[in-house]
Amino acid sequence: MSVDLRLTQLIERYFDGVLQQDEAAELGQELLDSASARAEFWEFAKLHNLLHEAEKLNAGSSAALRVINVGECTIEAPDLLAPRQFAWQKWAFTAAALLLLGVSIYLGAGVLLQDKPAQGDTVYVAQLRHSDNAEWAPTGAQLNDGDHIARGPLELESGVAELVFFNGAAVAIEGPAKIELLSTSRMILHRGNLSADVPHKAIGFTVETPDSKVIDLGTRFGVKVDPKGVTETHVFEGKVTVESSQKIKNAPKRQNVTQDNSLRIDQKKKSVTPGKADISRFPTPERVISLPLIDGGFEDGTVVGTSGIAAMPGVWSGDYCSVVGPEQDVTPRSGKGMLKFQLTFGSGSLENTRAQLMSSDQFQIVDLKAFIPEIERGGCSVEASGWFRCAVGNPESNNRFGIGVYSFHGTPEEARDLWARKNAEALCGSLKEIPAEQVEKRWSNVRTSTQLPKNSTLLLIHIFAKHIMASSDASEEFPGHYADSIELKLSVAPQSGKQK
Amino acid sequence: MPSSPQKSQSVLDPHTVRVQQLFIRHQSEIKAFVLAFRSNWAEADEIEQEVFLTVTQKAADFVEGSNFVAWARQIAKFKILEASRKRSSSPQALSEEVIDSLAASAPESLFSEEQFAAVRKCMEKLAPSARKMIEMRYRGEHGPEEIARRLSWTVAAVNTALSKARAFLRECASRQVGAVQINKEATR
Repeated sequence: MSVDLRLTQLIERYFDGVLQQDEAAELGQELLDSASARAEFWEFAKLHNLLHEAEKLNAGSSAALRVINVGECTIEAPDLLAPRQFAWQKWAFTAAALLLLGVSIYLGAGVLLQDKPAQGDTVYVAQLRHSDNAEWAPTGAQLNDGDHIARGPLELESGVAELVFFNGAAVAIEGPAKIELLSTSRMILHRGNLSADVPHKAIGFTVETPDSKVIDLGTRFGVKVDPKGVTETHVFEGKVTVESSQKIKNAPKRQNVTQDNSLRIDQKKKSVTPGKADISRFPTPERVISLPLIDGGFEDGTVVGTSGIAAMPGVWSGDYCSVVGPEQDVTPRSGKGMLKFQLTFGSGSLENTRAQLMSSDQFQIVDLKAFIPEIERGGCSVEASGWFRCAVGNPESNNRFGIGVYSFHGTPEEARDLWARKNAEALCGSLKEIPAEQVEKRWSNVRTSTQLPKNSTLLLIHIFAKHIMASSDASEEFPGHYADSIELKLSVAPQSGKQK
Repeated sequence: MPSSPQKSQSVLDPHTVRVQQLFIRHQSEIKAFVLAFRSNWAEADEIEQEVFLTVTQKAADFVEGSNFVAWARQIAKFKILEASRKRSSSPQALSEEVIDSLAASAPESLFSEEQFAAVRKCMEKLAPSARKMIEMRYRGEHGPEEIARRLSWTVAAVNTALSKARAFLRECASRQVGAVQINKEATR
C-alpha cells in the first residue's frame, strides 16, 4: 500500500472512531512529521464536518417553526426541541435575533442562556413545559412553566412536572421525586417516578438510577426508584437497554427490555425480575400524535369524492375538486400533487340549490376509536393545519380559503347527518379562514385547533375555497385555487400516575 | 439540604454580548474545529457549549478587532485536551503533542457556505446505496461496524464503500467550488 493511501486510510479510520492504539500511534507520528499529512487531515476534517452539517440539516428540514419566549419578546424560531438538526440555521437565526432584539441568547445543544444569562458555569439543558400543582424543594422555590432548567439537582415534593430536554426527550416526573439533570441527554433519578417519551432524534437518552442505567432506544418508558433503591423499568413502546451497576448472578449485566415488559432490579437482594409493563403507575408527559389523516398530501392516486361527506373514514369527499400536478404558475407545496378546488357543488347536490352555494368543500372523517383511552382522560386537543395558494391573477377580493375541525360523538356512518345538524351535534369545533389575496404567489399555512371533549369519537376535517359573490360562469368558479399538506395532530395532556 | 432550582439571574455587559455575538457568527468555524477531534457530533456539541461558556466568562480578555476565531480556537483546544485526558484510555485518542501540532496547522477557514452548498449538491449525485451509507454514518451517527450489521455487509465492504463515497464527494465538491469561482471570474 502506498504511503498516501495508508495515510488516507488511517485518517478515515480516525474520523470513523475505529482507530486501534497502534494505528493511533502511527497516524500521530505521521502527523507530527509531515506538513502535507496535517494538510490532508484538515481537508478530511472539513469534509467530515460538512457531511455532518448537511445530514443534520436534512434531518431537520421538515421541522416546523415554533414560537419561543425570550425575555419579554416572543419570536419565531426553528424548533427549539430539535437543536441538533437545526444547528446550522439555528445560529444564523440566533445571530439575527441578537442583533434585532438586542437580547442575548444561546441556542446551542445543551446551553440556553436567556436574555439575562448567568456569568457562572450555568448550563441550561431543559425547559419546564407544564406543571400541575408542583411544589419544589426547598419549600417556596418557584419554577414557572416555560422556565429553562440548568444542569443540577431538583427535588419535586409533590405534583407533576414535565420537562423537555433540548434534545427533544420529554420527561414527566411525579412528586415526591429527586432528580439530577446532567446534560441535554442524561439525567439521574435518585428516587421517585418518571416516564419519558423519547423521539427518534433523541435516541440514547439515558436515565441513571442508584443501581442501574436505562438507555433509550427510541421509545416511551417509565422508571421507578423506591426508597430502598429498587429500580423498575417499564417499557410502553419500543425498547430500552437496562444496565445494572453490578453484575448479578444468573442475569446479564445489560439487557434489552421490549414493549409491554418491565424489569425490576434489586441490588440488595441480588435479584432481577422480569414482568409486565404497567403504564398506569407512571405519570405521562404531553404527547403529540399525528392522527391518521389519509392523503393529506394529495399525491397521484388520491381519490377525491364528489358526493358529499363519505360514510367512511380516511377518504376525501365533498364537491367537485381534483388532484393535479404543477399547473399555471403553481407547484405543489410538497410532493408532486395538490388539490384543486373547482366547483361549489358535488354530484349529489340538487340542481335547484347549486346557484346558492358559495364554497367548494372537501371533508375527511377521522375515527378516534384508537385514541379513546387518551381522550377519555380529558385535556386532549386537536390541531388541523393546511396550506393554501392561488394562481397569480386569481385571487378575487371576495375569495377565501379555510380549514375547520369538528368533534362529534357518533359513528362514521352517521357523519353526514351529524354535519347537517352540526350546530346542535358538534361537541367542539374550530374554523379559520384566510383571504385569497394573502395566498397569491405563495403557499400560506392556516391552522386551527380545538379541545376534544371526553366523549369525542369522531373528527371531521373540512377544507374549502369560498367566494362571497357567486360567479356567473359555473365552469370557472375557482380557476386557480389549491390546497396541499393537510395535517392533523392530537395533543394528549400530561397525566399523573395516581389519577389513572 | 436540597438545592433550589437554578434560573438565569445576572445581566451581561455590552462587551460580553458583542463577544457572544462573535461566537455565534463564527460558530460553524468553531464547531468544525472541535469536530476534527471528535468523531461524534454529540460529543462535539458538549465541548462546543463548554467553549461558549468559557468565551462568555473570559470575554474581558478578548481585544475587539483582533482575530476572534484564533482566540476561540485556543479555548476550544484546551477544552478538547481536557476531554481527551478524561478519555485517555480510548484507543483512537491522539496524543496532546499531536493535537497541539494539528491545532497550530489548522487552516484559517474550515467552513464556507460555498463548500457546504457544493457538498449538498454532490450528495444528490451519489448512488442510492452510497447515499444511504453516508446518511447512516453522518445522520444516524453509526460506525462502520453498525452499518455493516444493519445492511448485512462485511465491515471491510462498508469501509471501502464509505471511502469511495467520500473520495467522490471531495472531488465533486472541489470541482463545483472551482466551477463557481470560474463563473464569478467570468462575470466580473
